[in-house]
Amino acid sequence: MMAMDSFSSPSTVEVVEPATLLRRRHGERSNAPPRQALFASRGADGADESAAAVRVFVMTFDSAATLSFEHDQQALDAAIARAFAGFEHVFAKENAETNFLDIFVVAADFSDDVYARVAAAEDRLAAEFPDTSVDVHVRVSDPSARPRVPAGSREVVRSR
Amino acid sequence: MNAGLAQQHLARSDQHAKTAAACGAGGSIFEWEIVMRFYAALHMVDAYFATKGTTIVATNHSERAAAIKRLPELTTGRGAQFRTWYNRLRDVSEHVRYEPDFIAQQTHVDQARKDLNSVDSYLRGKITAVLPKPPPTTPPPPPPPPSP
Repeated sequence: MMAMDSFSSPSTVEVVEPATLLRRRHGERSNAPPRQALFASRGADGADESAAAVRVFVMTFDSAATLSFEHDQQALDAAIARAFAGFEHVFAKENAETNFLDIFVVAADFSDDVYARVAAAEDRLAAEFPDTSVDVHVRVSDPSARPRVPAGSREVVRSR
Repeated sequence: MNAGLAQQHLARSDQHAKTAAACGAGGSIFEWEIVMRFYAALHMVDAYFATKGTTIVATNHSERAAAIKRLPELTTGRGAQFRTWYNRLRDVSEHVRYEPDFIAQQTHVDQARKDLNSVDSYLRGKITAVLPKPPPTTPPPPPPPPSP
């Protein structure tokens, strides 16, 4: 029996072969159920960790399963704007490759203060969209203060 | 826990930290020193994941970030600082790799060194504390006395 001390209550734990996992990730993305395969575990029972015997445990979490790309984007963007108000520029991008919402904030530097503000903003966003899996990246302004626009993203906050 | 995997990630982390030091020796290759320091931190995190009851294997940076957020010891208290150290290493390393006009300065390298040291000192003890201890090495038998 696997201990589940790291994560609370996964909705399902499924054992699949690595090849199946890879196929889901790369070959059958359009048909794959959304939000699966966020975390995989191998050799968790410590039985046999050789490559041929690696088993992959695919856990699907309810909390991670609901960032569907069918969410209300306007409501999400409004929540991002509220949470990240104060940053000069904030970009958001749904990452179809990873099924995460990437948020890019443009800041003056990589100081502790910037990261504290990012963490607080993440908490605020999580309070409004608790089921959204978000990954926040800090980008510093370039010398001419032009924002660095990540390809495929949309600007959610522009304060100057 | 997957002790073997944790040890492998620890070894890889140490390897990357050594490479980083070599890159930065004499102030020659700042950019790659930063990148190597980030990957040393990443393997340290993966080693920690491998010590959990259910081994976590993150297959990309987003999954790793999400997994970190699910572990209270990496998000609250001193863990909140851990996130800053790790995320800053990741962000600066992304700038180095993907922003062609970003020039790493001495301050960035100094910060990367500090952040990796902080990640290391925060996680290494937690990892090694749960790994099985290596068997004590027995000293080699003394050579036989010279024959008369």
